[in-house]
Amino acid sequence: MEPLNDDELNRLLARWEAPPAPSHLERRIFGKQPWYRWLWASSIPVPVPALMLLLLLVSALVYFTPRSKPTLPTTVRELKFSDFQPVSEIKPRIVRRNHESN
Amino acid sequence: MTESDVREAYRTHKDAIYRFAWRMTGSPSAAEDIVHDCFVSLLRNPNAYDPSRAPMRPFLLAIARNLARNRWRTEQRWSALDEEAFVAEPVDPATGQVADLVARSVQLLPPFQREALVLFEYEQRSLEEIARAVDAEVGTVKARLHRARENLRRILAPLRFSDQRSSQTTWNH
Repeated sequence: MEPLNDDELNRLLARWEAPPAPSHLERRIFGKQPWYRWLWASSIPVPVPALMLLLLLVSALVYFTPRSKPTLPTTVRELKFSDFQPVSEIKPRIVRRNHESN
Repeated sequence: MTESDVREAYRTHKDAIYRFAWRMTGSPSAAEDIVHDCFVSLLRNPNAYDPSRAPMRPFLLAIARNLARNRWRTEQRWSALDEEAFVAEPVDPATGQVADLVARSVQLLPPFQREALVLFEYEQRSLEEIARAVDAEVGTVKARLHRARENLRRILAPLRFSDQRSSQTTWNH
């Protein structure tokens, strides 16, 4: 197919019109926003290698952090036979199930 | 520059910068982001503009052009910015309205050709102004513009007679 000449091309290019800038843009640029809006309205571009490294470091940290073991009392008092004394008063208590009547 | 100077510059040039960004990216939201970043950078660093070096419009267009290019590089980092051997198929007139087809065809051009075409044809910038805005020699800009027009002559050739049939234009949102 034969290419367009200058006039034909210019006429076609003129058919593509662009809209004006939207009115809300001025507010977005010059409007003062509260600082805390940054917390949910902003994004931080993080390069993938940096993100991978960060994840690797966090995983390593979690993996190699020593688990807390149950602590034993440092001094254990030795019990003697004399420490065991008979019960002075016995108070038995009968516990029944709910569906059982007395 | 004070903030009120930047506001004044915004009111005077916002539509031109937005139109340029919109035509370069083909996206209203990307164009908004570019205009936003352009004027916010001027607010943050008002001394970046030196009136003795260039008028405000080419200065802002140069910022917008760099922002559009950075965006394009991020999105399509493996494609060349200026492909001399670029060849596109002619459009099919049945696939849309004339304005949409022209928009799509301009979007197909490699970015350096597209920016030369948009700045020259739509923003009525001179070759010298474009060369300053895109940081290239005037001869280079002329060659890019020539290649862009040659490509469009072929791509849009099937629309030769659509031009007379319909005069309706639409915005390619």
